[in-house]
Amino acid sequence: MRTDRDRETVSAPPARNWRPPPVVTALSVVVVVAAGGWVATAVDVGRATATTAVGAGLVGLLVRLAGTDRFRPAAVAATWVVSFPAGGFVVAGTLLVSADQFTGTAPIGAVFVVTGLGVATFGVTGLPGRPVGREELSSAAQVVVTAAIALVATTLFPIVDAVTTREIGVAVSAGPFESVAERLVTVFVTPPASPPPVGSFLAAVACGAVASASLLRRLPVRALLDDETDDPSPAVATVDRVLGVLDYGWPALLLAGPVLVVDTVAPTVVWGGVPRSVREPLGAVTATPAVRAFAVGLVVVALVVWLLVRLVRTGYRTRLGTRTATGGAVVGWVVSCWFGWWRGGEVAATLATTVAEALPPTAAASFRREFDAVVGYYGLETVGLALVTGCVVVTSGVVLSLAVGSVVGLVPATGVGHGLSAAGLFAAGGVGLAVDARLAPSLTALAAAVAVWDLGGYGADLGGEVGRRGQSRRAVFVHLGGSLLVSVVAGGGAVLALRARGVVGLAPDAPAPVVLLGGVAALVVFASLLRS
Amino acid sequence: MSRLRWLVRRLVGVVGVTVAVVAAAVAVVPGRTTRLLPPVARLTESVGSVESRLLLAGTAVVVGGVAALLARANGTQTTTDPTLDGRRDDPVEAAAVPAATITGDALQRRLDRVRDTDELDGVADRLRSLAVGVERTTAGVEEATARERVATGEWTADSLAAAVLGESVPVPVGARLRRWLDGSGEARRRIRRTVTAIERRLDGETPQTDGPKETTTPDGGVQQPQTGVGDAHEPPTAHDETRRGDGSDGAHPSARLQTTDDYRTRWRGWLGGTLGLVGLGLLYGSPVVVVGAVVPLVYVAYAAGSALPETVSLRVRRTVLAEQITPGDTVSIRLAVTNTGDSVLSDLRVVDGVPETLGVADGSPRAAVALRPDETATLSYTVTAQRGHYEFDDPQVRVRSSAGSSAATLSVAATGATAVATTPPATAVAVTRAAPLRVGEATADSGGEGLEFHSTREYRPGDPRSRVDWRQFAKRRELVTTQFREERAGRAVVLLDVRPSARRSATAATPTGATYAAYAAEAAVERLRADGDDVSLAVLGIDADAVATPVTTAGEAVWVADAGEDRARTRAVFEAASEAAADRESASRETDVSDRTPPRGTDTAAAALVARCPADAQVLLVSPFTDAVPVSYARRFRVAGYAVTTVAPDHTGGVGGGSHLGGRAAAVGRQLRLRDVRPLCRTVVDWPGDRPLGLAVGRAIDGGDRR
Repeated sequence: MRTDRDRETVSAPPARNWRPPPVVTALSVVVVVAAGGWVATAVDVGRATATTAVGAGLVGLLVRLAGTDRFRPAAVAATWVVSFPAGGFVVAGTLLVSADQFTGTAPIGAVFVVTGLGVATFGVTGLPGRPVGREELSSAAQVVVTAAIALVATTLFPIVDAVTTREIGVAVSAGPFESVAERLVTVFVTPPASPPPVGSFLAAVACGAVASASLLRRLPVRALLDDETDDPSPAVATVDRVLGVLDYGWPALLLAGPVLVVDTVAPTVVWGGVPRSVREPLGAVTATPAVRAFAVGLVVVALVVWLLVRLVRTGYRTRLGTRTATGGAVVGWVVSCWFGWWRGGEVAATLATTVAEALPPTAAASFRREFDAVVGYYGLETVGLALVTGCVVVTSGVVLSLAVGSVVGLVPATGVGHGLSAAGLFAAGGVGLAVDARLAPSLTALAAAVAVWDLGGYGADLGGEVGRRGQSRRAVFVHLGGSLLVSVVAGGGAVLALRARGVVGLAPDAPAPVVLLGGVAALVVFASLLRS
Repeated sequence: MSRLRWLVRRLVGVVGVTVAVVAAAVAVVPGRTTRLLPPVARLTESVGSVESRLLLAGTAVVVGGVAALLARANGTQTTTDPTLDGRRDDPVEAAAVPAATITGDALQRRLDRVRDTDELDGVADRLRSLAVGVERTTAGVEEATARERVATGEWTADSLAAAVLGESVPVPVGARLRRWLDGSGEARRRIRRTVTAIERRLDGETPQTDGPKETTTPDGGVQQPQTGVGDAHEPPTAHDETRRGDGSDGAHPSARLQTTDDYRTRWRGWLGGTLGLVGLGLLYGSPVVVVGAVVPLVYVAYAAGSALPETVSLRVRRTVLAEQITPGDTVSIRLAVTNTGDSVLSDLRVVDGVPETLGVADGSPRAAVALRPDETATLSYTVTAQRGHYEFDDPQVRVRSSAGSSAATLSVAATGATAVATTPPATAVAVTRAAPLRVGEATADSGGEGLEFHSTREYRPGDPRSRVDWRQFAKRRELVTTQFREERAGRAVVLLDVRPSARRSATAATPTGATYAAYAAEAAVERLRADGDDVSLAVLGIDADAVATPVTTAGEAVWVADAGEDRARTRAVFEAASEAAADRESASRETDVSDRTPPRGTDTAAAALVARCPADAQVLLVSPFTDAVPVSYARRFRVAGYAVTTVAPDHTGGVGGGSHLGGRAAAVGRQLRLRDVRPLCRTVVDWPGDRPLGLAVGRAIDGGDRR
C-alpha cells in the first residue's frame, strides 16, 4: 500500500486513465449537438441559439484556460480577452431572441429555449479531457470577477470625467493629477534658485543613484559581463565598483529627508547666515534642471524596467504557483482597455445597427435616438469601453453563478459537463413543448437530456472501474442502445397519449391545484420507493 | 428484505398509483370524480376557497423543495469492492517500491533541491568524476590527462557542458541570460546537457563533432556494434500452469446474484424533472407539456424496473503466454470470460487479480464487456516478471443491470494459469547432461586420454592398438603412439553480489540488479555442475546467520566449498541470496553510498576470499556493478593469477534509457566500471534483461580459455 509518495515510486496508470472512455464523451457531444440543433430549428430560434452557443462555448473555453497550470500568465491573459466576446455573444443571442419574440418571429418563451441550449453548450465544453468541476469553476470565477472589477473601475474614470465635465464644467482628470504633478515638478525639477534647494537636489540625485543601482542589478548586466569562470573579470569588477558608489545613494537619501524638510519649513533660518557669495553659486548648481530632470528620469526608467523585467521573468518561468498570475492579468487588462477604447466603439455601433434592424421601425427609431444620445454624451470611446466591460460583467455573472451553484450543490461538483448538458436540453425540450413547437424535436430533446445524463454517470463509473486502457466500447454501445430504445418507447408513448386527446382531454374546469397536489403526492411516494 | 418491509413498500406503491390515477381523473373528468369520491369533492371545495395564487405559490414552494431534496439525494448506496475502483491508492496495476532503490535516486533528489546554478557544485563534482572516467576509458589516456581535458573543456563539443564541468571555460551568453531569467530552470538545463554530453562521449563521439561519428575502444581499435548475446526469442507459446487438482476446465457453476450496489436513488432527480414538466403544463394549461413528462418518467420506471438476472454463470480461463520466464521478462496474460448461462449480460466488468508485487507493463487487466449466452470476451495485458512464484487473486466481476441501476460484485475462480513463476535457473540455461565418458569440459595442456590431438611418442608396450599411428609405421616402420589432450573436471568459483547497493532497479516494476544476479548465478552453478565441473560458491551481501544451514565465510562472503555436490547447502544459500536480493527495504536505508571508491576493508575481504579459492579455479563474477566493490574483487583475483569472467546484469535500463537524470548518470557510472573491469577479465557479458539468460550464461562459461 502506497503511504508516502515522497518515499515510494509506484508504477500505476496516470490519473487521466480513470476518466470516462473517449467513446462516451464523443457520443454525448453528438447527442447534445444534434438534439439541441433540432429543437432550436423547431422553435425558429436558430440564429439566436447559434449566437448564444458561441458565447457559451467561449465561456467554457475561458473556464478551461483559467483552470490550467501550464503557461499560466498567458492563460490568464487569454481568459481576460475571451471574457469580452463570450459575454458579448451571450448578450447578443439573448437580444436577438428577445427581438424575435417582440416582432413575433419567435414564440413567447423562446428565450428559455435559447438559454437552455446555451447551458447545454457550456456543458458540452466540459466533456472532453479533464473534467470541469468545482475547482475549475472557482478558479475561473476568481479570474473573471477580478477582470470585471478592474474594468468597471477603469471605465468609471472616463464616465465620471464626462459627467463632471458636462454637468459641473470641471474636467476631473485635469484636477488632482495635474496639481500633484505640477507640485512635484516644481520641487524636484525646476525649483527656484533662492534659497538654494539643497534638500530636493540631494533627494533627486540620491533617488537617481538608487534607481541606477537598481537598473544595473535588475538588467542582465552581470549576466552578460560575467562568464562564470573562476578568473576575475575586469568588467564585473568595474560594475561592482560602480554599484558600490551608487549604493551611497541610500544614506544620501536618508540625509536628504531632513534637509528637504528644513528647506521647506524654515529656509531663511538656515540660509540667512550664509554669505551671498556662497549662496548664489550653490543655488545655481543645485537648481540646474538638467541634472534634476535626468535623476527623476532615471527613477521613472527604473520603475518601468522593474515592471518589464518582472513581466518577462514571469512569462519565461512557466512553473508559476500563483493562481491569479498578476502578469497575465495586467496584460489582459491592457488588451481589454485598448480594444474597448480604440475598437469598442465600432463594435457598439455595429451591434446597435443589428438590433435596430431586428426591431420594428418605430422601435428601431426610438432605439437609435437613445443610442446616439448616449454616444453624444459620453463619447464613442467610452461607450465602447463600457460595452467591453458590460460583456465581461455578464460573463463574470455567468461563471460566478456556476461556481456558486457547484458549491451549494445545484451544479455537480465533479464533472459539470453531463449534468449541465442534460439540464439545458431538458429545459429547451420542455419549453419547446410549451410553446407548441413540433413534437418530435421537443420530445427528442427531453429524451436526449436523460440519455446524456445517464451516459455521464455510466461513463464516470466505467472510467473509475475499468479505465481508458480497458476495453469497453461494446458495452458502451449496448448501454446506449438500451437507452435509445427506452427513448423511442417513451416518445412513442407520449405521441400515443397526445393522440388520445381527442378521446380524452383535460377538462377546462379541472382544479389545477388539486391535480398538482395529487401529482406531488404521487411523485413523493415514488421517490421514496426508489430509496434502496 | 424482510416480509414486513416488502409489504409496506407494496402498500406505499399502491397508494402512490392510486393518488396519481385520482389526480389524472380530476384533471380529465373532474365532475364525475368528485361525485364518486367525496373526499376529493371536499378537497376541491376547500382548495376552491383558498386564493388560487396563494395556493399555486405554496405548491411551487413544495415542488421546489421536493425537487431540491431529490436533486441533493442523488447518491448511491454501494459496497464497492476497492479492487474495481481503479482510482484508489493501490490499484492492481501498481507496483510500489521504496524510491531510494530506484537507480540514481540519490543524485536525482540532490538535483531536485537545486534552485540556482550556484548550488550545482556537489552535482557537478559527481558528474565531473564521471566525465573524467569516460574520457579516460574512451580516449585511452591517463587519469591526469583526462582531468585536464575535462577542466579545459576539450572532452566535448557541447560548450555548455564543457563550462559546467570546466574550471576556466566560459559559459555561453545565452545560458547566462537564461540563468538571469530563470535560475532553477537553467540549472536543470545545464545538468541535462552535461549528462547528455557524457553519454555521447561514452558512445565515442569525438569532441570536434556533434553527434556520434565513430566508436573507439580503449586500445584504439574500432568497436563493432554490439550484437545481442543470443538469438531472437522463441515465439511465445501458451503455457498453462494448472494448479487445480483435477485440472478440469468445465463451466463455472452458476452463482446466485445478490445486489451489492444500488444506483436507483440516482434517478430520483428525474422525478423532480417530471414534476417540473407537469407543473409547467398545468400552469400554462398545456396538455402537451404534461404528456411530455412521460419521457423522463419512462426512464425512471426503466431504471427502477431494470433488475439483475437471478443467477449468472461464468467461466474464466487465464493463460500465461510464455514458455520460459526469467526475471525482468515481459509476460503476456490472457483472460477469457465466457457467459455459460442463459441470460444476456449487458454490462459485465472484469478485473483480474494481478499479483501484488507485479506491475502491469502494457494493456489492462480490466474490461467492460457485453456477453450473450455462450459468448466469450478476452482481455490481454502484460506484467514484468519478478523472481519467484506469484499467485493471481481471483478475478473480480461486477454485473450490472441493463439500466445500470443495480449491480452485484462477486469473485470468480479462474481456471488455467493461477500463478506467474520464473523458470528454475537450471531449466533456463537448458542443461544437457555430458556423455558418460567425458569427465569435464576444461582441457589440460598434458597429453593423455582425450579427443583432440596433442602429440606422438615412442610406442610402449601396453599402449592401445587403436592409438598406434599405423600410417607412420607403414612409411617408416616405426611404432609411434598418438597422444590426445587430457580432459578432466574443471574448477570454478561463482562469486555472487547481492549487497544492498546492488538492490537497485530502473523502474518500480522491474527486478533489482541483485535479483538478476542471483538468478544468473544459480543458473551458472547448475550449468557448471551439469558439465561436471567442481564449483564453489561465494555470496556477498548475506549473513551466514540468514542461511538455513550452517555455512562458513571467506572474508565478507558466505562460502560453500563444494556447491556442485553439497546441493542442500547450496540451495539454502541461494534461497537466502534471492530473499536478500528482493529486500528493498533494507537497501533503501543505505543511501548516498559512494559508488566510486570501495569502502574500507574491501581489499582485505577480497584477499581473504581469494585465499579460500582453489588455485586452478576459474572465477565467474556475477554482479550488476552498482559500485566499485566488484571491480576490487576482480582486480584482486586477477593479481592472484585467476582467470575471471563477468556476467553483469543491467539494472539501469541502459545508457540514455533512464527515466530521470540521476538514472542516466548511474548508467554511465556502471559502464565506466565495466570498462575498468574489462582488462581484468577474460570475458565481460553485459547482460541486458531482455535477452535470454541461458545464452548470456553460456557465453560466459563457454568463452573460457584453455589451461
